[in-house]
Amino acid sequence: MILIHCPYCDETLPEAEFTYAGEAHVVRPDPSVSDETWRDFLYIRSNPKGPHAERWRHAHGCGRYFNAIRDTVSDRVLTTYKAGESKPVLPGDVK
Amino acid sequence: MADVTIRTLTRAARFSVRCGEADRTAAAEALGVPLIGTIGAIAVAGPRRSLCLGPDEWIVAAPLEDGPAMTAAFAASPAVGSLVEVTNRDVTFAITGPGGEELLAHGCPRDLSKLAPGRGVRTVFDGVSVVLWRFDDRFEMTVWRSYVPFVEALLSAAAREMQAA
Amino acid sequence: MSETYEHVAPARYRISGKGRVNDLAPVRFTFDGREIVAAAGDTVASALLAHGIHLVGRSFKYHRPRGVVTAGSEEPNALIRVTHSAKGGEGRTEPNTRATMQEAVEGLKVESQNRWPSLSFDALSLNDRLSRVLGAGFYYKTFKWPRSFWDKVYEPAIRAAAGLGRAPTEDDPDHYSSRYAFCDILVVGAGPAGLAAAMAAAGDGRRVILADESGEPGGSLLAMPAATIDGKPAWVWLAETLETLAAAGVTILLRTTAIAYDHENMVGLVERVTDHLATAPADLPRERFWRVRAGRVVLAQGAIEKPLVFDGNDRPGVMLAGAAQTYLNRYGVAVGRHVAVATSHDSAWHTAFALTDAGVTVAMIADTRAQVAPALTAAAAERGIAVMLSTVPVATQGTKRIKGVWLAERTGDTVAEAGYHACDALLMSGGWTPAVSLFSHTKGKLAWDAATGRFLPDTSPEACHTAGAGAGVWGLADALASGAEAGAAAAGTTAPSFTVTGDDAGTGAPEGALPSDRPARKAFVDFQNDVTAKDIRLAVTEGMRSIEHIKRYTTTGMATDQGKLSNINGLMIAAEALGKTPPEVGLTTFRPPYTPTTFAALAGPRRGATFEVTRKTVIDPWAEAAGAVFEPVALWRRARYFPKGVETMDEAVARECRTTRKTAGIFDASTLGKIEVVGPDAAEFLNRMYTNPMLKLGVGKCRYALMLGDDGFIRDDGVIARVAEDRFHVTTTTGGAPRVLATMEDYLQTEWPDLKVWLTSTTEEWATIAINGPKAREILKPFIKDADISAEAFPHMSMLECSFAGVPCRLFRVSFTGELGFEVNVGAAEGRKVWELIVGAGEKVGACVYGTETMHVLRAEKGYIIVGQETDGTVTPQDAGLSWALGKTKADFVGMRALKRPDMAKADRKQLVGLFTEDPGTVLEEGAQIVEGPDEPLPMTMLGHVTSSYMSATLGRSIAMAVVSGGHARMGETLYVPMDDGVIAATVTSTVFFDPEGARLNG
Repeated sequence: MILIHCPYCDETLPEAEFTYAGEAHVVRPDPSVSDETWRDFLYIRSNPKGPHAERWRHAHGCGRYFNAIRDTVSDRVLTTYKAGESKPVLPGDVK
Repeated sequence: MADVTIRTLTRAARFSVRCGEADRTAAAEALGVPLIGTIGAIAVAGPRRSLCLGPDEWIVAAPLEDGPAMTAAFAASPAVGSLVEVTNRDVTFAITGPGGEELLAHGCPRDLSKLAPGRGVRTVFDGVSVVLWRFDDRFEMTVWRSYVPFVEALLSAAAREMQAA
Repeated sequence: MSETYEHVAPARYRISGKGRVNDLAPVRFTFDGREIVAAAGDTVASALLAHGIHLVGRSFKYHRPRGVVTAGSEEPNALIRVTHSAKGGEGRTEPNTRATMQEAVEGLKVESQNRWPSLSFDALSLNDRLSRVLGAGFYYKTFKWPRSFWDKVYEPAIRAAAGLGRAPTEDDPDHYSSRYAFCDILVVGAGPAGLAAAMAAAGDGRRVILADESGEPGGSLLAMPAATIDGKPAWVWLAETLETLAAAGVTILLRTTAIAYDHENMVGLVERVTDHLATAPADLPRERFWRVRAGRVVLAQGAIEKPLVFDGNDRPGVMLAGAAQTYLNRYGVAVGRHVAVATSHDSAWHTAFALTDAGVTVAMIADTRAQVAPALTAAAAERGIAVMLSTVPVATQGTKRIKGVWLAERTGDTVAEAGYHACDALLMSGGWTPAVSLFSHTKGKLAWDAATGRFLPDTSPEACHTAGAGAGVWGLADALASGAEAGAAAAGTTAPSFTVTGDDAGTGAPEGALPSDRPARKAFVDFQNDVTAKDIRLAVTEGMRSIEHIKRYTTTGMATDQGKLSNINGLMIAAEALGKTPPEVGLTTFRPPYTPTTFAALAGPRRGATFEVTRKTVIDPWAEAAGAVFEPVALWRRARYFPKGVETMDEAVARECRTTRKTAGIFDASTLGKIEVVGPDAAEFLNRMYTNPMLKLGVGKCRYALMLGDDGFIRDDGVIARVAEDRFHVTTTTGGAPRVLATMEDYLQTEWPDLKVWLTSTTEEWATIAINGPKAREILKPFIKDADISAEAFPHMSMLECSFAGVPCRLFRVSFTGELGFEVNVGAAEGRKVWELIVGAGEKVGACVYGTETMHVLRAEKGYIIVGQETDGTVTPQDAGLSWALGKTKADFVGMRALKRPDMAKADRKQLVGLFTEDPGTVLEEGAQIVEGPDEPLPMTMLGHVTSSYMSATLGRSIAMAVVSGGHARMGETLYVPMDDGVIAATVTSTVFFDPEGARLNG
């Protein structure tokens, strides 16, 4: 059971209090977009090996959705940040 | 072995209060209990108390008979927000005695030694969402009504086990 | 009692005055019916050995006689079936218990395994003679032809012969517990290194847990009474240290095995709470699963001794030298009277000396090495023990117990002619391999140390430290020092230091399979799975290159001991055969659990009434008393039907349906999800979340509401009522409630955070009682004094707030049956009272209560869908015939854009239709596939499937709903449902089977 820092509660807490909510920074487009764009919004995800920006919800806690960078290799949450905040630059990120 | 007693508390008027930062003071005034803007903080005003569960969420408990007046006061106040009565939804256990932390460790994955008296949290007890309040002499654990038989069975088995050890 | 005692053979191999057991406190148990008198503190293994019993089981594949090899949890051979007789019968039986771990308990019934009819004569030991054809890959090569034999002959025969032990047939009457624990430092292993680590870490309020799998802490110290630490005899130091630790608040968990090391220092411990007790308080769990979250972990698990690999190394009486030392010093048991020692490590020499000093004859020490420390040979000479260097065992003799060993001088890979030496026990040591399983669970990297032939823990992503023999440190002084260092590093303290005498430090040389003068067919590598050195070489010959392939082909390391004794030997042999170094061949992955673990320990309290979360409504106790039959719906248990007398389900449901349509039915709908949506933007929010237009819904009005995903598929439905301008009462499906709320929160928090609206779950605030049927209003009316609920004042799809016999009530005029319907919502605490009032009033007019089954039939007669039954995540509103629920002029709602994709409007999509079977008495099976023609060649084109199917008492015939490709254009067509016992013809029809005009709703 991994540990996750809730950016709203400012506490590092067991995974059992959280639920996973898919990749982060997937923007819901305006309905006027093309079928292809809407398809990509629905189904196309990055699935990286390594740091992955994803959404979690502190479901058994403050109830907030927030973002996390989790390394899919080590299964460690590297950092978390509030919904609406931009993705932080981590050491080692290619600019 | 650490002693522990579990008891179901009589019903209180309970409200889920939601509002933005700008309306917090007005909402608190209407409800007659401070709403502290820090997650985990408990505020007490006479028999009424509040616990901040989220950035815009509080649970407020008061004597049962205070309920209607609080509803009316909130409706009349300028506060923009949401007051929803959950008096019937919530059932609260009081867990008293030095064995409280150990008892709750049978289902709660949080390190409750880090939850100081005067604080509370929403957390999970063996898969069930619960709200824990910690006071000097006890924990109070609120669960939704339908989960009571399940949670009660787990708690009492754990308490019996602690007694037997 | 004493009568039987007189007839029992004395424990002839017990050495009085040795060991930590108390033979003044006898403990009696039976082994295959024979009474064994053990001493308090014995394990089953030590007690059997005290009676000279080495043969304790038969091996898995060849059914070879096997004896105790080790003194710990790594034991591969001595697996027994134990029944705790004093605590009850068969239910307290466990197969495959390691005799080396099971403490002797009064009344325990111990049986040997894998033998029939008896341990000494076993029919399947024929396999041993056939071993030439039963080698590696035997299954893959043999049971191939003829094809028809697979199911009928091979599989049953293999299944009958396979399997380890025999499972108990009765329910386990014990209960099991589970808990979390939090500490700053968790120390795994209470041997010298672990004790030193705990000492260094304890104090200053730090929370320290020290866990050990044995019944007694001390680890190797328990086998080293002659050593001194800080001037005190080892056992005195041990006792004082334990007191110090307890005084410093260290939690010491005995009989507690760390089975898994999970992410971020979450370590799973299984504590065996009562297995060592003859009787135990009923409230104590048999086992307790600890989920420990530690700041730092010190792994001090020690090392596991390796067997030597030579022909006949598996005979009863051949055992690891370190185990013999433990039996001698901890349990006061000599494993033989005339003992031979074969070793490649110094440690076995010290065992030989200890045995000699205790009066046991050690015939010789044969060491594979050409040279050993002069102090060892001198000490052997002093004791009159013959020393044979450069000598290897090449074979053994004896069936149920070793009688002798052939030893031969070696020169490199060749050996001279072997000489025979009689013995009644052969102690072997191939050196020690650190127990790195838990470290490996952390994805820790191992480093190969070629000089000693060991994998050592290297780096780990977890905050963990390794110490003692488990870190490759050998000898008491170094183990204490390394433990102290690890504990100090974990706690940020200064490491204490220790002065040690009588340290049996030493070295060894790694060996693979030993050279031999004969074809060594029975040189076992993996005792539990009967894998020999020859099998591993065969696997390499047959093309296996990776250790992972060799493992699977030979099954080496795949037994319940996970190759604790065999992995390194197997790897050395494979590496040699491949001409590679061991790290090039690789080590297989260690996986949790470290030792075999009961399912019950993992399940903890999740059995019986607490098997899973079960939610109950406030009306549930009433339903139970009324004899309801329940069914699970999501996490809820719901009353399915209320049989009267001897009614079957079909009869009860038919009656409930008829009564509801004719008079009225009363239904507990409390499980319906309810969400209070409040705020100035509440209408706007709901307008975006649901397909239906919500902005203009009037206060006091209800609307059916359909929720889609952004992929356009149906996710949930319910009814939305506007309680006030800024307040809505939203209902969801029973199972969908948590998901719908989470989805709403998601859109609200992340897509439209600017909206001023808040969501609160009120599912449990309200008890919801549905009254349906022509007499519904008549039942309800007397209780509502402050509102007009007449058809004119309170039409279908309205809601109002009123008082129900003095109880505040939200009253809905809605229907899920097609009848005149009301839903009474009252505070849950009043739900039972209100239910009883309504049921009482209902009975007077001939109404009944009904359950979920009748609810299903009644709604199906009207063609109302159930999300999750008619839909499966690929059904659009159009497919379900719900286009009318789509707001045509809305700018956006969740799912709107996706519905415009061309695929979503294709004519051949599976669409919801009704089905009438040709024979009105035939009820189709839900889930049955539908095809176009009964004679279509295989594979048939499947057009869709039956989603709901019932016998309708109202219509006097069966009805069904189905999703069928292009279904809406198939009205009147005959389609076919092929079943095992024939093809069923059915006609496509509308989904509204009853009252198509909807007249009854407006009653």
